[in-house]
Amino acid sequence: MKAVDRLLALVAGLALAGVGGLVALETGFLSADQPAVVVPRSRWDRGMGDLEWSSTSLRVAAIILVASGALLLVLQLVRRSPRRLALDGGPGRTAWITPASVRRVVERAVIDDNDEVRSARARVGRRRVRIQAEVVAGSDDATPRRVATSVEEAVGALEMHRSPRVRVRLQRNDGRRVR
Amino acid sequence: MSSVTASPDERADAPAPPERPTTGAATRAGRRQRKRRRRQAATGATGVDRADRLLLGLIGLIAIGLGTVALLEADDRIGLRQPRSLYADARESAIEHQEIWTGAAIAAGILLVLLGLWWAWAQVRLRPERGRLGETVVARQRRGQTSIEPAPVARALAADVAALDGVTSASARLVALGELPEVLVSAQLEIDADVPRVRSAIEVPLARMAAALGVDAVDAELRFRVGRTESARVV
Repeated sequence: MKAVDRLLALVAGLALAGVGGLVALETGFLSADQPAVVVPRSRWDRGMGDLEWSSTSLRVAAIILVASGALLLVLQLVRRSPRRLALDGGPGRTAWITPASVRRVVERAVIDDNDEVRSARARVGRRRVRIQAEVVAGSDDATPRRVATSVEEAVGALEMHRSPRVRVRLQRNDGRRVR
Repeated sequence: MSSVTASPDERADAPAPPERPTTGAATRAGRRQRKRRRRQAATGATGVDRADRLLLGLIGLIAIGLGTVALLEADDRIGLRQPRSLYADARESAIEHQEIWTGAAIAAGILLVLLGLWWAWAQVRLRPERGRLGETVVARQRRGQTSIEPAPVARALAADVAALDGVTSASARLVALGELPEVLVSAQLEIDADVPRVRSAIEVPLARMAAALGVDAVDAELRFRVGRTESARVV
């Protein structure tokens, strides 16, 4: 996402500079009674003189403006996944762990601690760890609680600065969801 | 600095990070700087990234606003004058006050060029790697000076950290020298490593480095990766 922003900002910066340069240049030529370089003055003058809010061209431009503006805004408002998560530090110490590391630790703990879990996939965010696991058909009602405890213990052992909440979702290997 | 291995039992014996001074403008500035670095380390976003996000969001908002006004006005819901009428007035005013409008338009154009180029340049310019230090003078007196080459010190620290239990590889970089040196340590840990224990054990090599540098303590930023086989590097 950062790379997309960089590219967009580069394009926007160059476009801004281009428009500014054109305005300064064309205004300079106009005031010196020189012919225009890029802007077809008389055509634009005629076009602007006939323009109405109900014009199709204006309507199309407005729709494009709203759509691209909304896309741009949503892109900026989307919360980005953390690059590192803080561990408890101390005076003169800051410590970090990558979300992928937490994911690996959690997945391993869930599989190792629970015989009924066949596979597990974790998603780690700033505030939440979501675990999705497949359990054998014979698992009981207590399995989700046991899996959640495994996750909480694994995350707790890391001594993270902010303990994330745990959400567990289990599915039996016969396709039924465990509640 | 030679290698040292800290067993789990040594965790309790590992020296606690020393107390930091808590007064003075320099300390406050240092705290602010550390806070900023922490935020940057967490998100990986620099000041340019945050500015980009803000400006692009602002452009998005302006675009939505302008487009919405035009669409509403197309159905005559706001009651604005027609664009041709607004344009005619602006045109008339520009002819009437030609000097002012010409000057204003050229100034605005130049301002836009400068802003646009500055913004574009900020995206492509190479940023110096954070705190890459060269040989640094740490003490200066009338008869001479003492300087330190940070790379060998960092390499020795990395070797010490890599030798700890649970650590598969490590790298280190000194990012500040002087009264309170600062070091960035990146360690790759085994999947079953006890992360808090490794964190405590790192205090031993850090204390050793502080002694080698002749200072009471070093500040450290520790970055851990668990369960991957690639070698660690400071990022």
